[in-house]
Amino acid sequence: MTATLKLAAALAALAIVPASSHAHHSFAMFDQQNERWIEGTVAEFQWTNPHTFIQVSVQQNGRAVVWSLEGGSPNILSRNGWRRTALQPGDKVRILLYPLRNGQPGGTFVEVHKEDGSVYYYHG
Amino acid sequence: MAKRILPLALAIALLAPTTLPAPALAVQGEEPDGTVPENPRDFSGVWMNDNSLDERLKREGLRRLDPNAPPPPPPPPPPLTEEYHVVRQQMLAQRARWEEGVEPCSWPGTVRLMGYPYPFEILHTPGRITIIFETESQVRRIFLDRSEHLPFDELDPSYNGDSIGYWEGDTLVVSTVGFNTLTELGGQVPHSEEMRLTERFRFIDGDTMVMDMTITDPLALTAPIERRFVYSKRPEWRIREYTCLENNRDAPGADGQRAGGVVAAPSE
Repeated sequence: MTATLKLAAALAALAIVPASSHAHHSFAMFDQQNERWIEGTVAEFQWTNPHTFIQVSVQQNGRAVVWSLEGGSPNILSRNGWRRTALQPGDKVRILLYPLRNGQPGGTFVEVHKEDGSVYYYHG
Repeated sequence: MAKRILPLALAIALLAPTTLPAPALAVQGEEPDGTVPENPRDFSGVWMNDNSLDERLKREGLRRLDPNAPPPPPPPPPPLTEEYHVVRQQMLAQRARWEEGVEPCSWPGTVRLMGYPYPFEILHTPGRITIIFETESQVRRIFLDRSEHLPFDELDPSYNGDSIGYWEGDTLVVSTVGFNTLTELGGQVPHSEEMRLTERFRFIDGDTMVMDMTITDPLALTAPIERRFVYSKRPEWRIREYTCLENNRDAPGADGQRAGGVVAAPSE
């Protein structure tokens, strides 16, 4: 069985136990078919339960727009190498994300690349 | 230590809507690695649900789901009585009226708690096994020194009920009754106060534990629901704090739309 098929089977198995994927809300509000990158400056890193948020200021059409990017809870992220000091206000970042379906400037981050070359991943 | 989940077997185990034959020696869900526990009756330590999204991605060497993977098939309908089928339709309709992703942060109850994607710690003390969960700092107390459940007038319905445990060989059998009906079984599957859980915990190798859960409910279910959970020991982990209410931006307002988050004093 390929890795993808195995994963699909695992997901199928978990369909009746939805809490196993995400402890908090469903992630259906994010468009996981349409990944996109943004570049900007960290305004705030909220290291909070049930979700962390990176508030990122992005220049769009000549004005600053704050994107609110949701990530895993601190317990998950800390086990994936994150610390509450991982991102500081003013840090320049490039972020791969799944955007909100409703078109608002937000989404869930997948990976965060800092100027110093360090990379943080939601998973793994 | 390399571990291999057997997802298809697990899928069959988890999706089965009715009673499965009791697994004798074969373990559906995970391949034992051949090691043995130091003491097969000592479950103390920190354990993690092997089927959390994060754990599954790590096992596959992935950092995210394949966005082009086909969606999983819908689960089979739960074996609900006619009356509770109607209750479920009402629950689904209420959920549908809410804005997508709205989350009230209610306690999960034992059934969903055992499947949460966060670890828990098991403590053994004389006559008692205690499970402390990262999820909402929940605690389950399993009494080994009592062979009967609390009498009816002391059994106030609660999120985690009244648990007693005993040994069948090296399998810890836990019986729990006394649940409230503020929780559901996942996927908006309701239950009654008559729900009874039987959990059977056992090692399958030195650091892997399987728990087989049987849910019966004479009012809500026409057949038992069987679920299997696989947990790995994580001696290097510490239990942190997880509370849904800290910065819940998804709290529902009276209209089912997001009411916004909590106002907090500056942290620095």
